[in-house]
Amino acid sequence: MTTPVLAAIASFSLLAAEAPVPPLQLPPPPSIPVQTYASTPPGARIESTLRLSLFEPWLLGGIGAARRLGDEGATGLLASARLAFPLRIYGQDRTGLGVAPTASVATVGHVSDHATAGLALGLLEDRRDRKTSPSALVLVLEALFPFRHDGGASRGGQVTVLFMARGPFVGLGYAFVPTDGASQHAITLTVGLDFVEAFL
Amino acid sequence: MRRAVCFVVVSLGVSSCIPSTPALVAARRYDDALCHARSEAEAKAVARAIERDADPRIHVYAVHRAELLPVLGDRTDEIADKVTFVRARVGINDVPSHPSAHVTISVDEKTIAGSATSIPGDATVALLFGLTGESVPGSRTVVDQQKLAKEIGWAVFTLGLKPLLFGTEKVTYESPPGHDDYVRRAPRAMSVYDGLRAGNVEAFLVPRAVEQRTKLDVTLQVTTSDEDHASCTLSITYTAPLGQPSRPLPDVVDERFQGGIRRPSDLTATVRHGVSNPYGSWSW
Repeated sequence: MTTPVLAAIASFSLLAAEAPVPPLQLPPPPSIPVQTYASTPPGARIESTLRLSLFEPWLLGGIGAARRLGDEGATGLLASARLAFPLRIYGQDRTGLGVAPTASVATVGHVSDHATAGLALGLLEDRRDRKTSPSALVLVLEALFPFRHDGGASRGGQVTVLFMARGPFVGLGYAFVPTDGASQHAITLTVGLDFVEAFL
Repeated sequence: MRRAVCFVVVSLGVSSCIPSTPALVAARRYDDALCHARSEAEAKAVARAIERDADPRIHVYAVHRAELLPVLGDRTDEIADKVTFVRARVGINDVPSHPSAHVTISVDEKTIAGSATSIPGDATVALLFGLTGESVPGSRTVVDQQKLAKEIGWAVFTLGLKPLLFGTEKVTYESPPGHDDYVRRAPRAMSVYDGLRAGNVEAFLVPRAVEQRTKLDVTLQVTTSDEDHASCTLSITYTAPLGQPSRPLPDVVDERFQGGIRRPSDLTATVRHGVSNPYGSWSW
């Protein structure tokens, strides 16, 4: 009876005396340096895209419309300039019609973080009224909207062209939009006015 | 009243308005560029730019027999004759599209064990236990302190009537073994495992019988989605031979990496590219 007990004690003693296993010692892996790349910094422009856009048919159509309006009493002078600046753009979404607001129109997106803006200024003088001169801005706003929705989706680039003016004005444009887009136009217009006012 | 305000706002056809893919690439808007690429040429341009910026680099290390000796003791040769322990790490730059990269080792296009992250599910550990002959710890009984305190409280509050009349609630539960349990039951296996995995690396057990046919696979991936939540993906995989005939893997790895990091493209690698977005899928 005593033999198994002694054997157990002996084996336990041996177990207790066994040296602990040392950790596996390996040379540390070399660190891999990380360089950080950012998207185009705020305020920078995408020149090539803007340049192409200026000759897009829709813009020519807009110019044509301006001239037609000039026949009715306003002369159109389309001067183009390019500016790059931070813009405040209200929540927008791509609907297939161009730019239209999402349900959260009041949501402010700050384009300066993500976008490039090109501005073409068109000055329209309303001869009939002669009080508002220059009274109109032709905005060609080009921007990338990487808005993040639902934690992931990246918004595509958008371009909006808005023909509008400060105060009572003549606005005109060239559009090819479905007939059911009326409400979206109205909201888009609100958006447009908001940011036009921000710069006038 | 002056002429009524007349608003006509131009809504443009989107296709003519989205900045071109080259412009998006130039601006490093890689997520947008990946989703808007409409041809293989554009997909290649996006892939090239992301690959250039991410610049994946790897380091591979194969454990030498002498390094195993203090851990495995008299079983070193027996185990080292069966497997070679390899660790690998891949690193990439911080790029706007947030690519991810991972490294694996494959034999005959089958990935070998080594990329799991939790001990119980880690195939490396299972193999290690098999090699060292150590046993896997079982689940352990844990006392739920909150329940225990509650039961004691009730017993005191009711002067012992509650447990007498209604019995007691079970205050213990079974828990899977933790890291410490593994270390206690399998010190050798866990020493190798912890040593291999130290430093955010992947660990692999390469069977000696097939180590000549091993290949290193490094994959760079970008997954994003467009405005309609459609998936856009980029995958670049470098596959380079790792083992060589008649030479132990540690020697080959030492020679190729020489303690430093390498670009997978420098390892005579075969490179496969794939881009997929709502406009199509391209591979080359």
